[in-house]
Amino acid sequence: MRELREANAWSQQELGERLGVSRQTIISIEKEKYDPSLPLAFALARLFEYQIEDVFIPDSD
Amino acid sequence: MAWDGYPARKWVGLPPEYWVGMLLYVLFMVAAVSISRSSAGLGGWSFPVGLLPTIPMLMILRGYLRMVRHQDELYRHVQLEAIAMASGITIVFCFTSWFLETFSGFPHLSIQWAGILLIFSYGAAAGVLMRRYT
Repeated sequence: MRELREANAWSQQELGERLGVSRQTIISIEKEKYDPSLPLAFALARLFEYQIEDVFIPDSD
Repeated sequence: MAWDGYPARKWVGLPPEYWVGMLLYVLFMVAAVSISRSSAGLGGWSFPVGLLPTIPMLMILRGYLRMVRHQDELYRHVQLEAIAMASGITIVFCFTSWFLETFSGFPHLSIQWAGILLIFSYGAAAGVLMRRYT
């Protein structure tokens, strides 16, 4: 997710504001310390214009 | 479900009524203690004076609940874990205290200590969890 954000030249704060979540949430997702909810994962993928499975990959894969 | 409608809520800090409630709590507490210690005594007013600090506590509670309702999902996740940890610690403390009091003759502790422990363990747990997630 970090690569996608940086490719858009967005800061963590900016991405958080676009999604309506805190910067800490973005940091936590990027560090893979927190798995986003399904609505947030869909919103992230839609913002980056990707399919959700292109952005988030289950651990078992 | 409309995925582009996310999020329904956005993280915000503690609302004004929380801080107003905190300020009023201190003032009402000082007032209640001062009145109860005055030489005139409370007479029939002891019950309402005793309940005086409850009003700002309800404001604090409302402010806290509003904050939780408006937080984003990570913060709510942290809150849930912190409340679970704090509740567990408090329950263990209460039962241990009761066992010691019943079987070992330990002195009786006021119920207020359960509330104080709950608040402090919640604060500590929330701090630790927030550091863990970020």
